[in-house]
Amino acid sequence: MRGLRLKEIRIRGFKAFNKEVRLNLDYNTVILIGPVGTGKSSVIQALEFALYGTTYDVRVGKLLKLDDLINDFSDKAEVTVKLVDEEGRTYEIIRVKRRGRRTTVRLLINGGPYSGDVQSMIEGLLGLDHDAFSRHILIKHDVLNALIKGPPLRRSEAIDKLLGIETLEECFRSISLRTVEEEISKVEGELNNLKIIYGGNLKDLNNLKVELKKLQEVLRRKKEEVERLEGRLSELESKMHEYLNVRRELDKYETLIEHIKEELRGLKYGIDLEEVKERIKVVVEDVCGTLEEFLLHEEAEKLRKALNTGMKDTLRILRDALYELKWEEDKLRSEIMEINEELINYRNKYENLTNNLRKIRNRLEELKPLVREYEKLSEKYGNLKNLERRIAELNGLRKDIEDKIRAGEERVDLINKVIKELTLSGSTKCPVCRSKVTREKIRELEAERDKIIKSEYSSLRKELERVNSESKNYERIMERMKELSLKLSDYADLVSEESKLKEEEEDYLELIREDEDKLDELRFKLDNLRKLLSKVEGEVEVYEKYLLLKERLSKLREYETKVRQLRERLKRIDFNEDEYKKAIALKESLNAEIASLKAREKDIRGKVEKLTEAVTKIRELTNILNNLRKFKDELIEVKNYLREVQRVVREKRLRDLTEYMNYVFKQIYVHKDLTSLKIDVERAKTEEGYERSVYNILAKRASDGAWIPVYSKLSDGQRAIVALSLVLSLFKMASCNFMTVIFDEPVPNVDSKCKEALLRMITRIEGIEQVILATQDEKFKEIEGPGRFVVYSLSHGGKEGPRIEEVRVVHE
Amino acid sequence: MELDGVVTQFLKAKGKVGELALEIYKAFLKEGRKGVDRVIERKLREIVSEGAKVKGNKNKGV
Repeated sequence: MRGLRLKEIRIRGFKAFNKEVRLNLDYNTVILIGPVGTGKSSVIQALEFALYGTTYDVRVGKLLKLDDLINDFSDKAEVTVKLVDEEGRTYEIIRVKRRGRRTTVRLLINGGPYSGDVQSMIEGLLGLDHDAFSRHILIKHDVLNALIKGPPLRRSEAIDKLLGIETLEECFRSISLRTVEEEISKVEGELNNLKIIYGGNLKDLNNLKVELKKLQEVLRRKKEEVERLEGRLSELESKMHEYLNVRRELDKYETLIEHIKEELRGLKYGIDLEEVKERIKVVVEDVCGTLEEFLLHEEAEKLRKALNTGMKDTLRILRDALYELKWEEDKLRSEIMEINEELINYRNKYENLTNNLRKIRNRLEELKPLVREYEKLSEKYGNLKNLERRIAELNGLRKDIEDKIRAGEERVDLINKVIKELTLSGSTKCPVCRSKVTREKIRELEAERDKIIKSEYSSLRKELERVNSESKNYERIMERMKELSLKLSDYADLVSEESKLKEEEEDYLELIREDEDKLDELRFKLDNLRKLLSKVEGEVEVYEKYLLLKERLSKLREYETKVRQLRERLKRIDFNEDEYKKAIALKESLNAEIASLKAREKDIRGKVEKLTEAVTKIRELTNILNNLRKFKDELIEVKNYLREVQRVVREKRLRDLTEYMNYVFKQIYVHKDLTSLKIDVERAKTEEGYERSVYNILAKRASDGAWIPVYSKLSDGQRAIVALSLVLSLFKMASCNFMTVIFDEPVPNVDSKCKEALLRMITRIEGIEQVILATQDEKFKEIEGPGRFVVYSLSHGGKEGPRIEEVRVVHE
Repeated sequence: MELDGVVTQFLKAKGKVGELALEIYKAFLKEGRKGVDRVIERKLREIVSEGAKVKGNKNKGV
């Protein structure tokens, strides 16, 4: 189905365009004219972006990234393209690319959104993928240039691209044999190394394998021999174990017999049983008597009864009785020790008492003279009370005398006072009677005074001295008597103490005598007991020996029987020790031989394994090498196939292409000097060294009918027309639904007649309804185009983007 | 007929090597030169590992 053409485009934020621009494309011919950098190519790329979400420079050329398509002053590029088909259905594609995000696309069919895979839908509607669009619809200046300029190989590549067979060529070139050759070289190297290392030894491998087999056979036989020997050894060992067990038992019994015989040699032979019995009876009686002495009547009774039951019981109970008596002996010994200790204590105390008595007596002797002195003083002065009474009497007398003396002294003082007053005043009053005394009385008073002083006063003083002296004497005697009375008290105490100690001394003496008697008695008892025990133990020992002798003799007979039985058993076992030793030696020798053979086998096996491994490795490497070579051949064959298929497709396409190309050329090229075109294919070597097809386009000269090479003989303009013919014929060959061709600066060097013819011709080509042409050539403003015609003039417009002006419109 | 169809039909008719060629061609269409290298490297690895398998089997017999 053919029928889609462009109706309108809206561009905002895409490449040169910042502010939104809207172009009405609903014409047969749309010319975009403007100088360099005014956005002509941006409009064409915006169309490409809207339809495919990318551009040739982004996807194939890798010159740009999608984000580079966004205007520098905008954060997103948005292009809306409206298409219309022959039935009037509209298709609106809205493509948006935000910086750093994925591109989004929406498709509105007759205003309604399409919900399926939009891109597939668009490509389906157009009948073109991006590659085909780049090849057939968008005819760029550089594509045309590549067809008509440059070296032949480059031109041929450009034609291959247009023919769509460059993929096969590139695929052919991508198949590199170098990797395979390197791998082959590496494997060959490894293989050679292995052959150098093992080359000589590999011949020995078979000999070594034969030797290994022989060795393994010998080893097997030796092992069998060892197994047989081990069977016999096992039998012998079993016998040997039995033999050794019996031998050990025999040795044990023989040792026991020797031991018993040794014991018997130490025992008395020929003891008379009756005599022993009689002696035991006597001993039992003695022991019973002693037990009774120690009040052990029950034990004594038991022992007497045992005498009638048997010798063994008698001996056992006699032993018990002996233990009892020994215990009694111990008790006696302890008692003696206790009494001894007590006696020592008493003696010590007695000695202390004697010492104390001696001291008291000495003291009494010292006090006796003082006692006698006291007695004498008592006889002379009476007792202490008498002395106290007498001293009291003397004290009373002294007091009287002292009162009298004091009265006399007062009278003398009074007389002296009166005399003094009389002497001074001539009269005074009597201090006693208060009568008047005159001076005449002085003499009388003085006489009275002298009398008192000489007679009364003097005698009283003498009497006082005597009384004082007597009193002091009595007091001294009394003091002495008091002292002596104290001594007398001590003396009495000492006498009492002496008497008490004397009694105590006598008590202790009595206790000592008692303990000594008791001690003598216990020692005597202990001595008797010891004698008895010693005697009884001797007798018991004899009797025990007798019993032991009996028992040993019985054991001896038993062991001798056992030894006889064991010897008979030894004979029956029939163990040959020599044979056993020989078998052991043979086994050891065989094992040593096997070990040596195993070492040799291991050595050979190691060599065989190593060589086998080398052989395997060589085989493996050879296999790999063969496969690699085969693979290399296959790759060469693949390349040949690709060439072949390329040739087949090329031939077919060139046939069609030449036919259409001539048709188009004749329409565009209005001059008569060239009549037709053809394409020859030749083989040429590339710089990389492989062969490829090279196209040679030839034009037929009208003047002489010769085929001349386009590249070398035709002008730039003629070559451009040939190239355009070729490209447009490809559009005709393509089976797409898009009725538009887009030219980006297609024919810079073509005269205006040819340009007009070009426009006319394009719209006449079957299937092309619309031409969009971007050019710097101002002459296109005046050129008459077919059908509805519009010319947009583009100019620089600053930050907001190029300005677009509709300068010419021709409505049909 | 489109190019891919022609190529596929042509190579399929070439037997085992044709299959390899088709595999390489498809890898090229998908990933370009890298895809072709990848196919060749994989084939090389297969060849080497096939060789190693031979070694393993031989060792069992030693």
